[in-house]
Amino acid sequence: MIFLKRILDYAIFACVILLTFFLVFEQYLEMPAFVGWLGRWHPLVLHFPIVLILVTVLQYWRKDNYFDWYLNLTTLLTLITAITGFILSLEGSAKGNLILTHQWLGVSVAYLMAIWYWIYMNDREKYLPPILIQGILVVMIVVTGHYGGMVTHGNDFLSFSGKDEAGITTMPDDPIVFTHIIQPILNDKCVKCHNANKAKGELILSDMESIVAAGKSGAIIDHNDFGKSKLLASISLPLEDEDHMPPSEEEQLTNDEIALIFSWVSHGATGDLKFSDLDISDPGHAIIDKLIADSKTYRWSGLPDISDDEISKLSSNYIRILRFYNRSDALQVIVYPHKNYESSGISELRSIADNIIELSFSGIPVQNDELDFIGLCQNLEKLNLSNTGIDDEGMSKIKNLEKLTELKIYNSNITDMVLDQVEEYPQFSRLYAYNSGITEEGINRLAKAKPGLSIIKSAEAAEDFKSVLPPPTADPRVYFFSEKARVKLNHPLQDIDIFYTTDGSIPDETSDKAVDSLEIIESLKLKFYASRSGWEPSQIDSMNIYKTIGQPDSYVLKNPPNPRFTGRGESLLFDKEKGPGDFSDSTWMAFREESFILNAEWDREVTISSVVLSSMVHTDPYLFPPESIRIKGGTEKSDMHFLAVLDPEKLEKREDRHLRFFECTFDPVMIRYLEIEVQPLERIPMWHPGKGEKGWFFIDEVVIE
Amino acid sequence: MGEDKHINKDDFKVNRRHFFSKLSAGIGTLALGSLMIPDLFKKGSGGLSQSGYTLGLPHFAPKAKRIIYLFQAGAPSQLESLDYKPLLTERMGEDLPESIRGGQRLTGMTSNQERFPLVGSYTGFKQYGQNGTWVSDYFPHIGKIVDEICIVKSMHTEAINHDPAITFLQTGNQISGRPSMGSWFSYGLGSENQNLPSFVVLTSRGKGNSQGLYSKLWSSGFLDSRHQGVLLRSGKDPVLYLNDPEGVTREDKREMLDNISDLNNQHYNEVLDDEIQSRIAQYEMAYRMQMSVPEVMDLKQEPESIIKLYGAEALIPGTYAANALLARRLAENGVRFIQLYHQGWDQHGNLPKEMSGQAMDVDQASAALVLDLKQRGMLEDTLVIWGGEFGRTNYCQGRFSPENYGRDHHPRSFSIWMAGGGVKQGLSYGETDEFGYNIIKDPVHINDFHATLLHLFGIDHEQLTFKYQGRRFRLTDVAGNVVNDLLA
Repeated sequence: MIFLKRILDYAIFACVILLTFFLVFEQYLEMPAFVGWLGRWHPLVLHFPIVLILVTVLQYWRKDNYFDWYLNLTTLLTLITAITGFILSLEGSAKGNLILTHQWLGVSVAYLMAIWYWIYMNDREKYLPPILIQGILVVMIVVTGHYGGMVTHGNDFLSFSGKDEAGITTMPDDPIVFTHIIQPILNDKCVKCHNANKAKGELILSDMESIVAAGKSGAIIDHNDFGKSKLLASISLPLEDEDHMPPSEEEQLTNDEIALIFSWVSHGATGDLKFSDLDISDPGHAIIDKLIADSKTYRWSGLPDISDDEISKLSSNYIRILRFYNRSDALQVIVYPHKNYESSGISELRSIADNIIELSFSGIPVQNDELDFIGLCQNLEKLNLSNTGIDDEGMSKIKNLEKLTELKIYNSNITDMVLDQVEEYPQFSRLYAYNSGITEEGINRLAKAKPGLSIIKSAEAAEDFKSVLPPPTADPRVYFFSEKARVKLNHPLQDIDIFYTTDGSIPDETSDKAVDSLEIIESLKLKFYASRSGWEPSQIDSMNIYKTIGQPDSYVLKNPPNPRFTGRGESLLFDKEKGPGDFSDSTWMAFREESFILNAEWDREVTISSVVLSSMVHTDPYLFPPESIRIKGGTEKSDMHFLAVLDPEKLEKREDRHLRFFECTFDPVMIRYLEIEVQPLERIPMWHPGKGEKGWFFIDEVVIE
Repeated sequence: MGEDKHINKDDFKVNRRHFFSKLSAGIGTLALGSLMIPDLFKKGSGGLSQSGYTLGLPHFAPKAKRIIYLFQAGAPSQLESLDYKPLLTERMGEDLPESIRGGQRLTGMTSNQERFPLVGSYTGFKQYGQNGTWVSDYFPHIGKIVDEICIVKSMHTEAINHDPAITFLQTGNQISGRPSMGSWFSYGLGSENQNLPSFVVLTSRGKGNSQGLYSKLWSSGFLDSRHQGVLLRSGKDPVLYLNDPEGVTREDKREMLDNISDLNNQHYNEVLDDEIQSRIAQYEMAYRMQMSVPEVMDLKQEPESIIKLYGAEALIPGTYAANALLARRLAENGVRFIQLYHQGWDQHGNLPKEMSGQAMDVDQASAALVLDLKQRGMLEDTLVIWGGEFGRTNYCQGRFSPENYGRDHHPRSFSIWMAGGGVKQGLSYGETDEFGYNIIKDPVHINDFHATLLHLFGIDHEQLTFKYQGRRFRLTDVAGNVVNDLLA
């Protein structure tokens, strides 16, 4: 026991020496990391002396047998607390008034404790000094503790002002930039060192006046050139720079916060700058906008609790109830149009009316039940009544929505009357009203009366969007017929005028109007377009329709088609079927090396006046118009003469895929035998990658009329 | 004997894995959940709790509630659309400096080329909007809405061919098999409207050179198959086999479904395969869709002013314009993820003509969609994205001519635009060098892009996971950073 006491004795002695050493040589101290870590124990051990000093004093008066031990332990722990506290205080960048007061109070307590211990050990009978010391100790330990509390929890921790800690809760819709945005950032990141107590660099950032006042190295805001303000320079220096603020070991400003401070300073660093004064392109604008949105999350924190059970009970196939985010009591309710919709289901939602922030009845026939219900939703901020057929009378039933900010009412029958009502909503900011009875005058009047309010009537940029009609479509798409054909010109829009010509001339508004289907009895070239007021007329489309006498009684191809494209055989030439755009389809056949020579024969003489070859041109895959077309005919096989000769024009440039009809007309002639010879292109022109090679001739129909 | 299939009727038959998974799902999650989320028993988690999920989503208040992704399949050239590079016109025909290419791998289509002649845009560019953003003359309507949109010129990907690139963009992985983006959103956030799927796909095809589309791009991968994208076709039957055969009444159908699900439930109790539950859910969804889909797909209800806005092509089913208008109707009806695919953007040759045609298909309708959403107040919570799977080279593929040229695939940089849904307006983000080849500022990788999209929906991309084959998968897998600069 004696041995242990002796150890404690020495420990107390060593601690006193150590503490004294620290205090004397504070300025020269360079703490190794481990020692710094010891300082972290201060908040833990400090509780011992607070209790033990009081207990020791008590035991002294009770004349407790173990008083020696109490005194021993208390003195040692008090010294340890003071030492760890001192080490901890070196961690922070600067000691403000608060810490210094706490430090010297704490050190005094420790020394007093040591003195008492020393007196007691030397002369246990001494009476007065211990009593004095005890009295001082009890008072001082309370005061020291209180200061310590202020260091960790803030100056006004014990004050009774009830100030709102989270500034964000009270963020208004148009916050004052300094009060609501900048000051909280400074408080959060800077004021720890730059306050009235610490005032590092003699700079205080806790209020507007102090910010404007100069620090040790001059004013931090340069009122001549805000961009050169010292405040901006020190927060934007690289982290490694010694003058970078906050110091690298402290919590840093975020990019958003830096951007906000820049915005604020560049706007004059005044206390009355408002969010609405910022330009939308200002980087601070978007950030504050987000902060406002975030603060809404807090705004909804007072809503009544809603359980998942209740939500699923009230939900149905067409009523959706969604939380704004995980475990939020703020609800969005969407009622979707549905065949089984019944307004009675809406009344059941009354129990959650207070929680509804957004409500949509888009597409629902809104009647009294729904309107009554809307009236109950006191916290409603956004209401969608588009496509509901609601009118002014209906709207007048929901006048008392105090928190309404946004109303969608497009595609409805409301008129300017509603604008008066909208003006009365205290928080209102946006109205969506396109395709309704709201007039420009009404909008202008309201814009003057309530400048902050926007009314979206239509998408402005849309006004110079083109609105060209698509051309009509022919149904069926006839190309070849024998006796007669019917074609109807259709258009996907209603109330369209379709004008057409059949003689190849360009149709206009004086041309024939297509009403019913057209009956076609002879070959013609149909040109047509669609027109309608308010739209640009469609492009003119055209289609060739050929009458054919059909298949000869017998016919034969002298040369077979190229083996790669034989189609489904020579019958395709007279099947009255048009091949599609894809030339590998079986309705097409092709010739390249050898000419297309068709010999046709009729049992009886026929009168013909034209031969049309239906072909395709597409230069990329070498599909060219042929070199020449020769038509011969006669009543005897041995006596045929040329009826027509056609040498199609050579192409000058690349052409995309399109159908081409090679028409050979001649005076009517009686024949029994006909020979059609087509020589594919000999040499592809120089501009084409395949120059000099032979071209392809594709054919899907021979029309003889 | 021996002929009948042996059916185990033991109701208590549970294999080891199911036993443990059920046990842990019960006790484990209860205990752990209550520790980790103190409020767990106070209220359920938002989002999907009604559908039996407890993901706790969204993690924070979302900016966007739905996406309309206008995917331009085949990769439109950034150099003829959003990324203006006058230097290429100045140095037309000169070889691409090796220092710029930097040994970049090429596709098999141009790796044999002896020269890589730079080629400038055939079409002109004009400045639009408050910031004077350059947009090509192929996209005059996009130019008109440039103050509404956010252009990202610094997208980059890893894949150099269509299939891996499009798979990467849609699923976050180049090799197929992972769930597509839309499925992740559906899994995370569920459907708003119970009568429609939460993930819908619409396809259209331009006249340009096109690459295939395949249903794997909207597959749910290893996620529950109810999150798979539903392809709505144009024309009379938007969903194949959705309509009842003649003579079958709605009541008959109901009875049939009830009986089938009884059988399915029995089977489920025997084998405990979750896909059986999904199948039951899908039958029910189809039943509800019978009522809702024809209504949503009926464009005749749209007023003429809207048709004019989107362009008259919107009247022709199956066109991009019609799909864009449908997308808006679907969004109004609570579909979360609407993906349009427009094919035909693969201009290896004949670029000027094909691209002008492709642009004609999409320009007005895309801009109209943004404006239409805006005038309905839907743009603020609907994210519209327009873009392809990679970019195109600044040099010519094939025969070089300033009037007719082609561009090969280019993964190192490409441009997209986004609008609404919590994305900054009127912003041009990122930059490529003056050759339009390499990114020199603010690159956005596909993983970053995904992370940002999820963030806009209130989802932490690192926390939306699904455990499969022993590890937790994410859309962004092991990468991705939210691009905060894009957020409004």
